[in-house]
Amino acid sequence: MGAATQIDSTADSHRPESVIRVRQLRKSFRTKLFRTVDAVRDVSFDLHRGELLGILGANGAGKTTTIKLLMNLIRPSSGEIKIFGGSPRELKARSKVGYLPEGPYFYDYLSGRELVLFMARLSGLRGKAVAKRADMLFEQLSLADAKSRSLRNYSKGMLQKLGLIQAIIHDPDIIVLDEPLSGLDPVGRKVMREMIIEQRKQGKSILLCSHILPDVEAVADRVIILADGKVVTSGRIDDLVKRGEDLEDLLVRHISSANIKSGSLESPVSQEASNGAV
Amino acid sequence: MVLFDIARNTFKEAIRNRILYGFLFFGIALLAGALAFGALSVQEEERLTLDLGLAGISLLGIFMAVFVGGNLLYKEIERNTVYTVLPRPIYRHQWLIGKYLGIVATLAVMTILMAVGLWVVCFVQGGAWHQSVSFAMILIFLELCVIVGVSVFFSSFSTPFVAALLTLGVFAVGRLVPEIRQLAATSENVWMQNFCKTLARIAPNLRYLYISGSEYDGQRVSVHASFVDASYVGWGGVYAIAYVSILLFIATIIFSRREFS
Repeated sequence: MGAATQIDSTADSHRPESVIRVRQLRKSFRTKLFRTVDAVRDVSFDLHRGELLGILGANGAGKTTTIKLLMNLIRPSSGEIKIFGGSPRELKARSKVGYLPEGPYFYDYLSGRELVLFMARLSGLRGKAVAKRADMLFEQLSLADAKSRSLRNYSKGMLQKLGLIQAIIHDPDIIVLDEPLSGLDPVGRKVMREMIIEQRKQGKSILLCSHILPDVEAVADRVIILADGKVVTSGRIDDLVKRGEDLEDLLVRHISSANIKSGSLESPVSQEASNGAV
Repeated sequence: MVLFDIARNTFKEAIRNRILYGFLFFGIALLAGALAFGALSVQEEERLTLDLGLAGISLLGIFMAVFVGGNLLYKEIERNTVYTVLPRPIYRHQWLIGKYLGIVATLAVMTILMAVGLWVVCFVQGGAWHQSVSFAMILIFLELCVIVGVSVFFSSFSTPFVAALLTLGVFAVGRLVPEIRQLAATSENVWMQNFCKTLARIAPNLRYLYISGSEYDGQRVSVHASFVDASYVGWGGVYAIAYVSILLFIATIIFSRREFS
């Protein structure tokens, strides 16, 4: 932890404020009685204020586990997470975060509007102002006609949009999105992407985890690539891709390299990542 | 405030669940059956109808408590709705207790509806609604509160099937606490004595709450004759609240350590 603190003290003078700070994060799961597997190993990164950071990686790379650790749904085996300087266990820290989980499932006996207002109440918001904001968000995401409909009758794409509305209803400073664009048709993807960009323009800090690389490429300021539970590279996309490469090539290159060297991963790790901070 | 928001949402969920209406329909059928059985007996119509009605309401309530209590928590965890709720600025114990209160509110409404049904049956039969029947209904509801607590407790760390089995087991033991104590006193096997004593100490003594037919103050208690007074019902409430509080306290400790991977 001492090393991480040292890195941070030098980095702080050059970089914008970190709203999320993750250091040497590790999460092990017990698979059998005496066997554990590391889903996340020594992951370190920062989400700076107002930036959109993409988390990329193959299935099982540790993306969703990292996000669940940030959201306090699971506890780290070791390492540190700070959200605005506080632990994710603290309500104050969590009140500033909006979260859209992967493949969200909501209370299907509620209508879309009821659900969003319930989520707002859980964040301590009630009254006319929040109802007005909810209506505005339904309008912006082209769900206004369906807001009074039971969630049983929502398609996967509609649920995904609703997931974004409930994630931002309390106007959080940090938005964590796990696969927000999956299951959406091209029009839905465009609407969601525009909403994400709009949030970023408003100064929100966004952590975006997605398999749809062109979408990440279009909106992310920086990316980190996870493979086998570790950060294998990070930085601005333009700085990471080689000439003639696109993001997909970059991802494949790093994942292949990580797979080959798994266990003693030293391949193209960016200088930032190897220093412990991204 | 958050606690009541969660409770209200749970109540809404339970009330909009069609299976609950199945239970209610079954309850009405049961009361109609009690009326029919009562009509078959000579001079004991009111007595039989009330006994069958109260026993039916209690048993049906227990099944509802086990089903609704175990299933609501499981559904949230299995369908991952907790992923959107628990990252909010709420404590996990608020979520668990809110769920409990929502289920209890649902059972309160169902118990009131059944009580109204029993009152209608009594009215049709030309009998009177004694205060003792109201007290019996309150005690039945308190017993349901304890059973929901047991169900939520087991649901905090197991599957609905296991939770339902364990809850029904606790219910059976709870109703047999005096007999289990008797067994402990009469058994010659030390292991059996200790086992029975421990069981009787841990399990809720539901005979405090399902009192009809038991002995109290040296008298056999019955809604038709000598029944318990309001202070007994009050102490029954204190017992139920104390037992549920301990259960929920342990359940919240377990639940707050639970991981949602």
